[in-house]
Amino acid sequence: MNFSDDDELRAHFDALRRHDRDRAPDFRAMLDRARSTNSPARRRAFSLIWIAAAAVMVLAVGIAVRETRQHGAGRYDGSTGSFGGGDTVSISNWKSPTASLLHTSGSDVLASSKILSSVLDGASRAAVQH
Amino acid sequence: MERSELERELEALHVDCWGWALACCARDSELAEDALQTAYLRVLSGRAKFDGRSSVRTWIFGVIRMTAIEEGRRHRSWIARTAGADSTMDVADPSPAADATTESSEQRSMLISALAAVSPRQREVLQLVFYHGMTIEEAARVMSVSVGSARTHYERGKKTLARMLAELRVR
Repeated sequence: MNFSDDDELRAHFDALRRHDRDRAPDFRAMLDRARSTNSPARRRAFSLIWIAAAAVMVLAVGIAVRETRQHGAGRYDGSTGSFGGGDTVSISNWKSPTASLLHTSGSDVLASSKILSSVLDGASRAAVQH
Repeated sequence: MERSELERELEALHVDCWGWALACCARDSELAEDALQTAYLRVLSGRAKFDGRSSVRTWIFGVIRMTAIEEGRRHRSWIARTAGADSTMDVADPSPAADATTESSEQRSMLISALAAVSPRQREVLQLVFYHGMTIEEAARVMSVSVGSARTHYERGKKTLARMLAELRVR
């Protein structure tokens, strides 16, 4: 590589520079276009989209929290020994939801008969007192 | 540096910046315009800050280079998404212009074809030195490489370019 090669390269690049210079876009027009594409209105629209997205997120979280609380209302609280929220259910009154299915037409026959009062009841009571 | 001062600097360097943006965007004028526009906005909005460690021109050229790389990447991924085509940053083929018969346009066409044969780094350093008249030290700062590395790219690139131009002249 010598000076003549450098000069030749420079001549080629000079030709390219002249060509580019003639086709350079106008500085002011380019700057105005850049500003309009990044204008406050555009930025405002962009931030509005973000605000709307944030509002939707807050709403979704709120609904989820509410649903969770509603489901947790009847849950047993170990510390107080009671059920959170809803009515207190006594274990002796509890009835299985499928209890009615066990009640068949023959269940009366199978049930133990009631003890009838007898004339011997009085005699046996007097014997016990003596 | 004040915004108005920056704007004046940009206006003074605009033609030079345009040439550099074209080189960074594989001579795609549409992409170069987008990259230059974005780079100017970065400079004027303060997103790119001048620290005074180099000349304003070197700094702005660095901003343009980085912006062009990002724009090019976005452009390529957009092309890949829309067309599924494999796009590369090869130097654009110079189409014969109306003034194709003139010596100047012939020189230009030959140079663009020859530049396609050198690596992107070599192309950058040659453009900065021969087109923009920078020193190798300044070119290294724009390219964010060491001076030694820039010098190696310069020497190798110059040899390849001279060989390619000689070959094109013979044809």
